[in-house]
Amino acid sequence: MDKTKIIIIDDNLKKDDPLMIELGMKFQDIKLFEHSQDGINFIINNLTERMIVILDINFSPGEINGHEVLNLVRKQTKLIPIIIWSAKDSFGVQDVTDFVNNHAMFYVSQTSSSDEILTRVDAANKILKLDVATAIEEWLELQDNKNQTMIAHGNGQEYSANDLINEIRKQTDVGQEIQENMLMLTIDLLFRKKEQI
Amino acid sequence: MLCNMDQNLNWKFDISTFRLLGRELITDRITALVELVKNSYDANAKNVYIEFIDSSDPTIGKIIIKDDGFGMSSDDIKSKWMTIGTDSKRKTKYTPEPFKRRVVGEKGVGRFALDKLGSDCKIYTKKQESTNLKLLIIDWSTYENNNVTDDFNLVNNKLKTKRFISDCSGVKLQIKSLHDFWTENDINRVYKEMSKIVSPFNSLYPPFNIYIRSNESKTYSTFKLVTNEVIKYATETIEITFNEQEQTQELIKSSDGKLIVQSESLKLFGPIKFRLYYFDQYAKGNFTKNYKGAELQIDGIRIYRDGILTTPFAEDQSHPTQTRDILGIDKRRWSGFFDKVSSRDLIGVVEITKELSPHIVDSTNRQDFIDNQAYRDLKEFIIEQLIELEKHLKTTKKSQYEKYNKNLEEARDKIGGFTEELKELKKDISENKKIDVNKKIKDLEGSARQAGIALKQGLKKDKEKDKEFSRKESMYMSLMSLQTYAMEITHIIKTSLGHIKRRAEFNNKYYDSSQYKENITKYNEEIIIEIDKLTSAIEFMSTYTRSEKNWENFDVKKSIHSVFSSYHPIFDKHAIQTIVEVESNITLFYNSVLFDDILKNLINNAVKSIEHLESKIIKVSAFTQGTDLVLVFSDNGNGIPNKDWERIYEIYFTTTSEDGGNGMGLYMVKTNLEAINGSIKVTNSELGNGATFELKFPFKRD
Repeated sequence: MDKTKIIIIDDNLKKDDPLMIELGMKFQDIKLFEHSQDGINFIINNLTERMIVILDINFSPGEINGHEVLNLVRKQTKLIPIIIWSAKDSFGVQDVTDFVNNHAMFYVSQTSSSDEILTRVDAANKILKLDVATAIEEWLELQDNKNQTMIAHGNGQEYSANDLINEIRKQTDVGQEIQENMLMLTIDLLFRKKEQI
Repeated sequence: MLCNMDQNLNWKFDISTFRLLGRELITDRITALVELVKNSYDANAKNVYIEFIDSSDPTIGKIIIKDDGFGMSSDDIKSKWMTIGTDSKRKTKYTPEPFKRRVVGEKGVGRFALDKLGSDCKIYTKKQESTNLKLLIIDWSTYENNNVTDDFNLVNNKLKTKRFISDCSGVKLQIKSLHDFWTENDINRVYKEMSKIVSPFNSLYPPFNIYIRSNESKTYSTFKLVTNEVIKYATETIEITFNEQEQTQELIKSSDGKLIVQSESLKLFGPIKFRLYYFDQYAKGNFTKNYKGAELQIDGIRIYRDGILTTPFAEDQSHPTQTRDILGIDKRRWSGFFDKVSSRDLIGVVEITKELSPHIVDSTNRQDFIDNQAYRDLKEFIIEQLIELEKHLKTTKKSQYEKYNKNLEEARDKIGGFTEELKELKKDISENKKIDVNKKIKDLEGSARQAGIALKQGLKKDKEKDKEFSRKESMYMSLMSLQTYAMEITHIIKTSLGHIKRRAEFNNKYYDSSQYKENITKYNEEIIIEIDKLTSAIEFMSTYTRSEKNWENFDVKKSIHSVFSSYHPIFDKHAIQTIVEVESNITLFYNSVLFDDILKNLINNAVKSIEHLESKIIKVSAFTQGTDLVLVFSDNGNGIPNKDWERIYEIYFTTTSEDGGNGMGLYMVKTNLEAINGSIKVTNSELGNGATFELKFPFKRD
């Protein structure tokens, strides 16, 4: 079972919708939020988790609409893949600008079949795997002693693998720096020592 | 103390005949009350007190009707109350001295009224000279559940006698085990009907006062005297009478902008007095401002015989547009909507006497007069008088326009002159001529003011003209938001289609998997629900495609009844009790399809909220109030929490999504009503619990 969390923010979807069932066949943790504010809260409080968000655009009056949700999440992180899932079929220039500038990953129509949605979720998940934090996360899962693997940073601080994941996902300065350095280091190691992939 | 003079009085007759006579003859409960009050009138009563006690709950509630008339003796009770269809009243045309009132409760149907109201009745009565108080007990509930094979039942009523020394006299009726509950809204309707019983124009001597009280209402917390104040506000008054010696009948004619009275020989229907009061918008507004709720009384022409209302008979449905429009006033409105006066602009009293108009005879169902030549002539006569009034109004309007147009022209001339004078003044000043500047300026001011007044009046009339045009235009107003609707409906349809698609695909993919058997069954059901949702959304859209054609005058009562009857299978299935009380002959100019849709929405919501209850009630009443049709719709379900009173109109707001509610209903109702300046609001529950909506549809749209 895939450990990527699937977050769905939609006020028209039932818990036992086939989409939920079929996602459940693949992913072990699926969370459905009817109120957009609850969804935002969850994402922001769990930034260090690996997740994909499926986001509706139109909500009932009084709810924060999808554009705003996207905007609020993007203020915190650019790393979480967000799939727009809407019944709205005509978007204005402003809407589209909004989606692109806020890194919406895919758009699927509410009339899409579960398969089409699942395809998009899989694609997003693949992209997630390219992320350094995800790589560390997966590496970490294979280790026995998870908290003792420390690395030292130039600023004198020591970071465990989990700390690194948190820093990267929260996109702190340290996190971004480490992320870059790790990529550089990997490339350097590969080419200089001719290690095999 | 009831003493041993007690006796049993027996009725023997077919119960179903009684029901037929009673419940069919007295078509509704308000007529029932009216009939009982008429009995009081016949008993020379000066005061009648109608009291509703805890009447919102029929099981414990009671209604008491008390008068200070001459009361009944044992013989009266036997011969009048105990004999069905007595003709005692027909033998004595007048009530005893000193009043000598014309007997009005002709057919002795008043007693059936009791049965219409409730099944447990006590009648207390005392004659002035008697030292006994009599008590007659009629309890129908004994027979209601009795499966007797014998068609004829011995109906046993107890007559008790109690010593009681007093000067007073009268009858007190106490009705319990009520058949219906009475809300304040219902009592308002009683008030309204009672206010029509006695002619407001006939100074009856002695007075006949009706008082109403209810322990459950602030308005009626003390006995409220029923009054009629409306005629003070009339714009036009017409009064015609007859001359008995010369055998002539007066009538009006419109001539050169005036209404003149002419005389012709007496008509077949006999001599009549006719007073007609016409109210224009302005007069109605004034009256409405001063008598909130009483504006209902501008409601057409009624016929009074010997000072008491005969027809249109005071059934509650009867109201605004003239009860059942038996005179055909409003039927004429189908043509020439804007030039014809309607019942809602008029109060009229046609006074006839039984003696001089013997050909005007009540029909057996008491809803009209028997259709004969005399009655047809009478109707025609009244309509002709209305046509004269309309001619007069039209000429007045036209001459007003002409006057204002003339004023406008004068204003133009004056402004021209004004400019000239100014030029002159300027010239004089520049040439240093010696002039009286003050006088000149005063003159200028004078002409400026006159021009101003003329302009103002002219503009006002122009505005009115505009209003009349825009009124016609605004009939299509509700179509303007079509684009918004379309977007929202597209959204609903797509969401729904998505639901269906995913379910169908899932079922298709896993149909032979035992693991998902439950899901598959559930999805199948949900697919059906979603398709229903789609259907309703599409139906809603298609009402718009038909909208334009559906703007018409339609009969509100007919519409409501036909919607309710289309729901009969559902009502029956859930054992829902429905109460539909709509005044007859209200014609509304509105989109008839939307009107039906609005009603269906309310019914659907109500059914969902009450279907799980044991006792289920849906009640709708419709009546006119001022310039609006008011529709009060109630159920006895869970009601709407105060915090949601505004939210419920939001699109997608739904508490019934499990039952297929799509949250569109009330949004649509509200939008449609607002487009015509109408309104919908939630009010405190009329039935004690549950939801009550008050909808207003303006008759005029300006």
